[in-house]
Amino acid sequence: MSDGAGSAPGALGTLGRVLTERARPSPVIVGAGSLCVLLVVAFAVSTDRFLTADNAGVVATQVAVLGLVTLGQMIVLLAGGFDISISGVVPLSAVLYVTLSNAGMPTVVVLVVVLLAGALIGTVNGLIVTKLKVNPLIATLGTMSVCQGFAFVVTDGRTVPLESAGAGFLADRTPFGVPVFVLVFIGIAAALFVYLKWTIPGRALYAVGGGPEAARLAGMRADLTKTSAFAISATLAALAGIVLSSQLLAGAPSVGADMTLTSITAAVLGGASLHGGIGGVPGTLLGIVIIGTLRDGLALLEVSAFYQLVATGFVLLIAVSMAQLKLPARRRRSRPAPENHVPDKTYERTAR
Amino acid sequence: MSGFGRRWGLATASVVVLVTASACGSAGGGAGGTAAPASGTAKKDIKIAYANYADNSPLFAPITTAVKTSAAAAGMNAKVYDNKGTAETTLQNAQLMVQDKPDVVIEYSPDSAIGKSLFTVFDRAGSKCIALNVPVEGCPWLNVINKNLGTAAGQMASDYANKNGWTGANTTVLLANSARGGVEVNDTVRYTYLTVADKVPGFTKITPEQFTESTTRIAANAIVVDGGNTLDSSFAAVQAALQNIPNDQNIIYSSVNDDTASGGWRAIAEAGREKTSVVIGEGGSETALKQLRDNPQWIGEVDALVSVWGYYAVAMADALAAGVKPPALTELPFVALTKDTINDYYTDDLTSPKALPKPVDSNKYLFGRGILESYRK
Repeated sequence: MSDGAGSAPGALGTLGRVLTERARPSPVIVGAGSLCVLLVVAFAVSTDRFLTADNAGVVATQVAVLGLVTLGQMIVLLAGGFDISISGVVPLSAVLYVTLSNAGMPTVVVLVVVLLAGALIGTVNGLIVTKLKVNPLIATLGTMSVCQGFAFVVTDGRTVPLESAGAGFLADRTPFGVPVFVLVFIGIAAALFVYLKWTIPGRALYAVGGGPEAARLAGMRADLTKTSAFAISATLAALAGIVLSSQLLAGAPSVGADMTLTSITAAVLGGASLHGGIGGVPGTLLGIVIIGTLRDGLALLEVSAFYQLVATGFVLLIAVSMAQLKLPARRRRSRPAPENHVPDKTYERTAR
Repeated sequence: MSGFGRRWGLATASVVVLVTASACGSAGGGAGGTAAPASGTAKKDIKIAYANYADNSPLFAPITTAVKTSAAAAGMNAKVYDNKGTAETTLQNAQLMVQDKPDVVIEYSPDSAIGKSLFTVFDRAGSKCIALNVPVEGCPWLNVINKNLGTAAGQMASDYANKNGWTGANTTVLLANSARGGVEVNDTVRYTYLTVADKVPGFTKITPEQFTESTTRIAANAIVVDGGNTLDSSFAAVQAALQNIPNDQNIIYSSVNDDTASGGWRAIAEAGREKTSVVIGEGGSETALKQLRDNPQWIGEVDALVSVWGYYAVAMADALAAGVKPPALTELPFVALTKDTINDYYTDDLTSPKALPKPVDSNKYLFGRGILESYRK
C-alpha cells in the first residue's frame, strides 16, 4: 500500500509553494471563523447573559454531544459517504446502555459492549456500501430504521430511567468544573486530528474520498478505508448515545432524532465537502461551535422556535455559499472526479 | 476482492436483509392484525376497524393493545391498522379498512386536515365512524380535552405555590411547549399558565389568544421554550432558558408530555436548582409516576390515561352499532394525581390504573355496555 495522498505525483510542487500554502489559513476556516466571531459579538452585545462562565459551560456541554457525532460524520464525508444511521445508533446505544446497566452489568463492561455494538453497526454499513455497492444514503437509511426499530423493541417504546449507581459517570463534573464527557470529546477531537494529519489510514481517507478510483489504482485499500470511516462514525454515535443517557439519567428511543441533519450541517459549515475528500477536525469544531453558539444565543434572546429554524437555515446557506465562492474555480467544478483524477494534497488543506 | 471476502460480504448482506425483514415484520405494516374474540364470552356480532396514530410511539402503542383486549373480551371482531403518523398512510388505511365492511371505524388520524377525505371514504362505504383525539369532520369525536388537563396542572401548581409562599415576585413559571404540535396539544401548558396567573398573586393575566405557539416570554416571571417533544431536546431548551432565570427565583416547571417534563427536570437538577423548583408532568407514563412517588419536587402528574382509551373507543363503537346517537364530543377520562392520591389509582407496579374513573355527563352512555366493565377483569 502506498502512503496515501502524499505519494500522488505532482501534488507536492515546490517546497516553498507547499509551505506558503500551508501557512495560509483556508478560505473555509476564515469564513467559518469570521461567522463565529460575528455571532459571538452580536450575542454579546444583545444580552449580558451570553459572555458568562455559566453560559460557556452550557454551550460546551451542548456542543460536546453534537460534536461527537459530527466528528464521525465528517470522517464519513471525507471518505465520500454519508452516515444517516446516526439517528438510529444514538437512541439504540442509549437504551442499550441503560438497559444493560440496570440489569446489573459492570459499567465498564456495558461501555465496551455498547461501543462494540456501534462499531459493528458501522462496519455493516461500510460493508454494504463497499461490497454490495449500495449508495451510502440508502444503506445507512436502512440501518437507521433497523436501529430505531430495535431501540423501540428493547424499551417497548418507553423511556427507561438509568437506575444503576455510577453508570452516569460521564456526566459527572470534574475538578475543572466541566463534565467528564466534555474532556472525552476534547481528547477524541485531538486524537482524530492526529489520525487525519499524521497517520497513513487518516491520509488515505482524503485520497479515497477525493478520488476513489485513483486511490484504488494507486494501490490503496479503498474499501477498508471507507469501511473504517463508517465504523468510526457509528462508534462515536454510540458514545454520544451513552453520554446522552448519562446526562439525562434515562434512555429513550426518541433521543437524537435530529442529530443526522445537524451533524451534516455542522460538518459542512466547517468546510467538509458532500463530495468527499475535503474536511478536517479544526473546521468541524468551528462548525459545531457555530451551531451551538447560534442555538444558545437565540435561546437566550428568547427567539421563537419558528424563527430559530429560519435563522439556522439562513446561516447554513450563507456560510456554505461564502465558502463555495472562496474556493478556487477549479475546485468548484471538480465534481464528479474524472476517471484519471489523482488525489491532490491541496484538497485536504482547503478545509483544514 | 478475494473469494473469501466475497463470501463474507454476501453472508453479511444476507444477515442484514434477514434482520431488516424481521424488524419490518415486527414493526407492522399498513394493514394490521385481527383480534380474535375471546373464547367463552358472549359474542357481539360487531365488526370494528381501528387505525392507530403510530404504533411505534410509546404514547400511542397501548391504545391498539387496549382496543384488541377490550374487543376480544366483548367477543367483537376487531381489525387494527397503523397510520404510522403520516397522512398518506392514514388515507391508504381508510381505503383498506372499509373494504372489510366494518360496522364502525375508529380513526386516530395524525392530521386533522385530511378529515374531509377520510369521512368521504367512510361515508361512501356506509361505515359509521369515530374520530379519536384528532377531529374528523362528520364523525363523532372521542377526545381528551387538553384545556382541562392544563387547568388541572395549573391548579396543582397554584395550590403548592400558595401553600409555600411562592408568588410572582419570587417564582418563575417555566413551560416547555411543542411549538410544532398545534393549538390543541399546547392547550395543556397554555391553561397551566392561565390558571397559575389567575390563582397566584404576582403573575400577569393574559387571554388564551395571547399565548400562542410562538410565545417565548409572557412576563418577567414566565418563560416558554420549545421542548421539541423529546427528552434530549427539552433538556437542551431548559438548560439554555435557566440562564435567563435569576438564581434566587423559585421555578414551577411543566410541559406538554412526560418526556419533556423529565428532560427539563434533568436540566434543572444538573444546574443545582432542584431544591427551589417543582415539576408537574403530563401523560401518566410509568417513569413520571415513579417520579411522583419518589421525587419530593415532582408534585403532580396529570394522567390522560391513554392506556385505557382503547376501552372507551370500543365501548363507543358498540354504542354506535347499537344505534345510540352520541354527543358531538364524548370526553375521554383523565386524573390529576398527587403524592397523596397516586396509590388510590395505581398498584405498586404503576403500569396501568386500578380502575377507570367515574363517568362524566358526556361519556355516561359508554358505561353499562360490558366493555368498560371488562377492564382488568
